[in-house]
Amino acid sequence: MGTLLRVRNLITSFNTSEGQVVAVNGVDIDIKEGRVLGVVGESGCGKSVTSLSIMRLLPKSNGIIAAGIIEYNGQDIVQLSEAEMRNIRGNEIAMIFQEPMTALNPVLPVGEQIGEALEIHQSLTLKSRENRLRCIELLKMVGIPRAEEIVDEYPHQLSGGMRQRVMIAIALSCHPRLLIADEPTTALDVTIQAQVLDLIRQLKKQLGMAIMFITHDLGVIAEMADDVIVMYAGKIVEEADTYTLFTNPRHPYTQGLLASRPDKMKRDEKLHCIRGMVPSPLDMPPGCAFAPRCDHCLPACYQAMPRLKDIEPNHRIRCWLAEQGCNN
Amino acid sequence: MGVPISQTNRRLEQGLSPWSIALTRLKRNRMALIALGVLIFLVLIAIFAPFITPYSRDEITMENKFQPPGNGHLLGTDDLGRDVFTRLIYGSRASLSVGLVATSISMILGVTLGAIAGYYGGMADNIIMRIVDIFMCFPFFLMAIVMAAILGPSIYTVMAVSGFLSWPILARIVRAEILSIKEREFIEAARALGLKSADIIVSHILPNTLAVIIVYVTLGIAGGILGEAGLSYLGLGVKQPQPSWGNMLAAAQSFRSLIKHPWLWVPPGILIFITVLSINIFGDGLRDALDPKLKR
Amino acid sequence: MRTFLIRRALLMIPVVLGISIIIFALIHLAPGDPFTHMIEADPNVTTEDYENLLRSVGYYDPLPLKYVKWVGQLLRGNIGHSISYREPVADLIGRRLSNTLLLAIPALCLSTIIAVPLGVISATRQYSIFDYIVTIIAFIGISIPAFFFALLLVKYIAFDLKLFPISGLSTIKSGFTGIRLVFDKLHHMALPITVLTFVQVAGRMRYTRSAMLEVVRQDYIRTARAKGLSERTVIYKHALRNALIPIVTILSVSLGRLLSGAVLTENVFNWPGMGTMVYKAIANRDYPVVMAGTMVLALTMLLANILADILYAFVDPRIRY
Repeated sequence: MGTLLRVRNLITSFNTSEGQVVAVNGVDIDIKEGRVLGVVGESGCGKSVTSLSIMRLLPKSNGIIAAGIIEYNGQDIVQLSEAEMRNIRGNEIAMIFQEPMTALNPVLPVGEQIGEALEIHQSLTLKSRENRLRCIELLKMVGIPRAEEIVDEYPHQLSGGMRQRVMIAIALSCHPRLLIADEPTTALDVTIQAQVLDLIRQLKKQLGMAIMFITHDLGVIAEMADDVIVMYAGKIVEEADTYTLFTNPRHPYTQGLLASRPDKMKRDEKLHCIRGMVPSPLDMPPGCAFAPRCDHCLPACYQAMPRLKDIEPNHRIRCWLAEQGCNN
Repeated sequence: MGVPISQTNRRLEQGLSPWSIALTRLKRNRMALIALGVLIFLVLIAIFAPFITPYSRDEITMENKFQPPGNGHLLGTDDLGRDVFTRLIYGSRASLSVGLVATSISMILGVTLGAIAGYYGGMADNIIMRIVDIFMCFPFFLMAIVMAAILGPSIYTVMAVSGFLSWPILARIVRAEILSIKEREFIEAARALGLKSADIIVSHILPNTLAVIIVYVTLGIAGGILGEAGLSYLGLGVKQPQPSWGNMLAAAQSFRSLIKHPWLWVPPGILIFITVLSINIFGDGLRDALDPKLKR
Repeated sequence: MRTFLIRRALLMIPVVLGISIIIFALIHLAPGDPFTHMIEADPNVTTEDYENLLRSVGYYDPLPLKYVKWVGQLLRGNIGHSISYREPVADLIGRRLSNTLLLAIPALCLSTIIAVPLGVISATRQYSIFDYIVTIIAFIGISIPAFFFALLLVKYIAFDLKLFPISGLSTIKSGFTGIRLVFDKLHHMALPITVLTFVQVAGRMRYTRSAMLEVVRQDYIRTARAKGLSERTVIYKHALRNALIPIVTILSVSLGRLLSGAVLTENVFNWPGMGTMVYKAIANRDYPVVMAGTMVLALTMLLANILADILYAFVDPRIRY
């Protein structure tokens, strides 16, 4: 299978009044046609900024892709003009956001919000009959009952789960080859979460698109992803297929994340947590960014940042432990 | 998970009190600092008026009337031969003090009534808010004219009328602020500790609404100055011989002076404009500096 | 919607009562009576005639009785008889109100047409040179006393450059008819409308700018961009439609303010509108005109506020009363 998205050495930074903040620092990503890549990490680790960089939707006033290439289908989209990029957005690469409550425009009926995408990418005039029928069909596809009525309703008339379904309908309206889902279920109730995840999985099977699934929830990753990357402070720290990552995590950070899942706990056992806090991007420690919080820290960790190194086929970690060959 | 700038800034600003954050932000706003400089300059002029000008305020020399600028009179003389520049400087005293006093009146009324309405709710809230509704319907300037006509023209009338008519907006703002603050946990905590309502309002709630009040009061001074100008222009404000920028503008009520003696009314108009402009720019800067939602 | 309107109308009652009581009380606190000027002017009026006149208008009734009488008259549609103009106040107000609207409505429309696009552009290019210039102009408009601006226009544009008439509604005794008359009127309206428009543009532009800045930050704007919509569609369809909700809402309030807020501007241009009417009536102690005039203006303001609420429900699909 071909590589659909190939990101190399992506560096994204923000200009702030306090100086330049590098939010994503040299990230490499490969997503193959029809595969699901899970991206995990704590808030502020750069996973959302990575996805916004791929969509080129960084805040215009201060966000810049400082270096790197983002190759979609063999074409570097960093170099594309805004007009060419618009052709890709919503058409080739689509995105679902975290907050279904605020991600839909409150003053437009849902049908119009789906129809808009069809209008620009599939030349179905917004008010036309075909457009409307297609919208209803899409609403049915994402499992919305009474689609013929809902199509004319406003977002505030729908529940959170329904709205997220509408978001999915918008994203899938033009059959994108890559879907970026940025914490699509985080804001939903647990039961609704499961339904939405099921829906995404089922639609993936049906439509065959690749998915970049961003979440901080390892449980969701286990259910959804084929491959996983773990991010910490703007860098990838571990990369493997899902099974390997869960059965044989090698980076101390990944190990910490897995150990701190409450469902792995026995009763009366103390809840494991990673000590300390994520460092501020304005105040990065020299060397490995995780060193101050790491239980296996070596003197080398404070000197320089380790490389992302293959430790077995399709399994890479960024850690001095691996560099020095002493496996924990 | 938002854009990381807000998070980093928040981290940097942690540990600083909201006031020092506001001060740092204000120091970065050059426009606001210039405006503040202009205002300080105007206040100094008002205070040291007698030392700035060689003429006395009300000295009448009829043979010198309607002198154009120049010839020892920087801005010429008026219909009684008085030096316009001198009166302009002294006029700043009346105009600035009207702005300050009127705003203080409106602040005391607005904050007290707004706090009562917001904190106690129920009947008190209902009555106060209906009064606010009534005041908000009054045509502001016409009511000012009616009241000034009844009370008779004087500087105190202007202060009272401007202050008395402008409190409802502040009351509304304070009430809304208090309603939102009242629901937060630290107020619950204060109540659980058994503090009295008045203590809670004064020492816990009002400090949190202070930012809004400061901004409003700053902008309110501009409103007071404009009110003085309008009323005095119509002859319902500060009375001659005491000069104010507004009653100096009233020279333009005479068509002859409007056309032939622009030095009588253009300078006070420009000074009002500059003062109000500075207050507005500074007030806007303050609002940005004190707005906790604005992280830049 | 109907229940909302009824509830709103019921809430109006205490406010209307309050307004009428305050206006009534204020006027009756005023010293002097409407006929003082008459005896000063006309030595033939005896004290007895004078007393009779006062009694005939109910000057000696106790205050509450006067109030009830006045409200009774108001409810019967009789809002009084002007002493100085010697005609029913209703006729007078009708004429003056239309003169005021002649300035207020064009000023409202013009300022909206100018302010909204400027505010939108200013917001989409936040911190650009365009934004700075527009912001500075807005500050000037907010800060300049309208009547001072009007005086400057009268002196330098109308008198010195002779571009516009100095004051009034139309050229007196010109005998213009048809299209000439219309042009003459427009010529007279130009400067006062300029003043009112300029002052309004400033405030509305700032308002539009901040409304847009607020909306552009919202998640749904990012969603719209993620669909591949053009920047124009994103700004003018998705963002502006949301920003217009508060803007449309305050328009009716602005109109209410314009009706009474133009006293000084009307005064400078000697425009026979509501403002000058009330001001002159106070000077002449023509109390029926003052009471009716302020009452009418306060009620318009109240209606404008209610209209704002209704408009709000109309433009925002989230609100259904």
